[in-house]
Amino acid sequence: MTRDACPPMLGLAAGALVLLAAAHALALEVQITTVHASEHGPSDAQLIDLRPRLRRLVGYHSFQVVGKEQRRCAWQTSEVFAIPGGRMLHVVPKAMRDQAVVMSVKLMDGTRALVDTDVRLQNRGVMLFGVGQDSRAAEGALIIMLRAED
Amino acid sequence: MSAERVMTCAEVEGLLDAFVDAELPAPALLAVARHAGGCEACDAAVRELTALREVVERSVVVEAEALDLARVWPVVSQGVERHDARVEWRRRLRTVPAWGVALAVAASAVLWLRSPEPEPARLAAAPRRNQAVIERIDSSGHFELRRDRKYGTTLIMVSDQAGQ
Amino acid sequence: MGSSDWELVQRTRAGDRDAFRELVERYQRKIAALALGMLRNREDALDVVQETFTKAYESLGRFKGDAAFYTWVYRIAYNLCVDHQRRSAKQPQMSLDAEEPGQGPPTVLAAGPRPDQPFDRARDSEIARRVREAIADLTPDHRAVILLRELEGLSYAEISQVLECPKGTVMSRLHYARRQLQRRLRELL
Repeated sequence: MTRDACPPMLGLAAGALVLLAAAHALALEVQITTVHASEHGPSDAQLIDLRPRLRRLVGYHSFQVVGKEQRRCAWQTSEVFAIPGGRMLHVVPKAMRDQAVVMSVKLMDGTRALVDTDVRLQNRGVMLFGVGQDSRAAEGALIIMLRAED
Repeated sequence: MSAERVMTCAEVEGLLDAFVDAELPAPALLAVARHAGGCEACDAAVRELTALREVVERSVVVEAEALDLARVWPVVSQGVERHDARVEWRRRLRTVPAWGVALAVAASAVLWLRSPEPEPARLAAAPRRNQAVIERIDSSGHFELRRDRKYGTTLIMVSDQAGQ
Repeated sequence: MGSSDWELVQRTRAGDRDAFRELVERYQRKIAALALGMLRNREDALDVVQETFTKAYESLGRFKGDAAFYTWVYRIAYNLCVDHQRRSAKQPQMSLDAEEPGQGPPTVLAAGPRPDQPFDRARDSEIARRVREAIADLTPDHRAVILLRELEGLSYAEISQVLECPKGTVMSRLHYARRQLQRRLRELL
C-alpha cells in the first residue's frame, strides 16, 4: 500500500465501522429456544431452575432443549426461525416503546397460522409459545421461548 | 483389646465415632465407656458427638416432614403402568402375527386422530412486571393465554390439531 | 404387624401393585429426607423420590434379597442424587426474566444461646438453617455418609452397601464430616 493510498483506505475503514455500528443499532437480538415438554424422563440441566415455573404454566413434568438459535433481526424486517417439527416462527421487530420491544410474531404450520400476534415484550424479557394438544398428551408439547434484546 | 487395660485419650479419640454409633465390639465398647466415665475431656467429646447427631436429625427431619409426598404414588403408579404395558407389549409382539400388529397400529392411529371438545379460552390476569402485553391475537385453531402468577411470564398455548 | 419387605417384594413380582404401593409408602419419607439433604431443593428431592421407586419397580426382577430392600432402594436414590448434582453442576441455568425478582428466605436473627433452653422455638429455625448450610457445604460423599448415619440410622455395613465402598472408607468419611460440622457448629452444640 502506498502512502498516498493510506488516507482513503483509512477513510473507507472508518466508514465501514460507522456503518457496522449503525446496522448494529438498527437491529434487535432475538433468541429462540425450543423445549420439548413431556410427562416423564429427566429434564435438561440448564432448565432445572425454570422447571417449577414451566410446570405451573405448561403442566408437564420434564423439559428438554431441542433447539436454540440467536440472530440479529433488522427492524421492520421479517426473520424466520425454523422450529423442530417442521414449523416456522416469523418475527418482525417493529419499534421500541417504553423499554419494551413491539413486534409481530407468527407461528406457522405449513400454510396454517397457529398463532398470529402483536406483542409488547419487556426489553431482555422472555415470552413463551406452546404447541400441543388441548389436554396433556403422552407425546408432550413443544414450548418456544422467545427472548428479545435491543 | 483387654477389657481390663485402661485406655489412653489418644486411643479413645480414634474410637469415638464407632462408640457413639454402637459399632464397637462389646469389650471395646466397655473400655471406651470406662475411660470416658473418668475423663472429662473424652466425656465432653462424646456428648458433643451425640449433640451433633440430635441437631442434624432435628434440622433435616423437620424439613423432610414438611414435604408433601401425596403425589409420589400417583406418579410412580403411572411409571409402573407404563413399564407393565411395555413388558406386556413385548410379550404379545412375540406371539401375535404381523397382520395383527398392523391392525393394532391402524386402530391406534384412528383413536389418536379423534379430537376432544375445544375448551373456552382463559383470560389472562392483569399485566405485571416481566410479562408480555398482547395487543392483538389470531389463531387458526384453539388457543389459551396463560400468565404465571408469581413472575408474570406469558404463555400463548395453541392446539396443533387441524380444524380446531 | 405388617408384611415384611421381602414378602411385599414377592407379592409385587406376582402382580400385586398394592404390595408395591405399601413399599413406596413405607420408605418414601426416608428417601425424601436423604434426597432433600443431598440436593437442597424440594422439587429435585420429590423428583428423586418418584424416580427412585419407578426405577426400583423396573429393576425388581434383579433384586435378589441378599441386601435389605431399604439399603437397595437407598442406593438407587443416592445414585440418582449424584446424577442430578452432576447435571446441575455442568450447565449454566437459563432464565425467563429480564431481571430476577428479589428472592431468598427472610433473614432470621437469633439472640445468643441460653444454656437453660438450648432449643427454644425462636432459635430452632436459625439453628436448622445453619446446620443445613453446613451439611450442604460438605462434598457429596461426606454429605451422604452423614445423612445415612445421623438421619437414617444405617449401620456402617449398610452404608458401605449403599455407597458401594469399603467400611473403612465409610468410617473415615464419617469422621471427617463430623469434625467439619463440629467446627462450623461448635457454638450450637
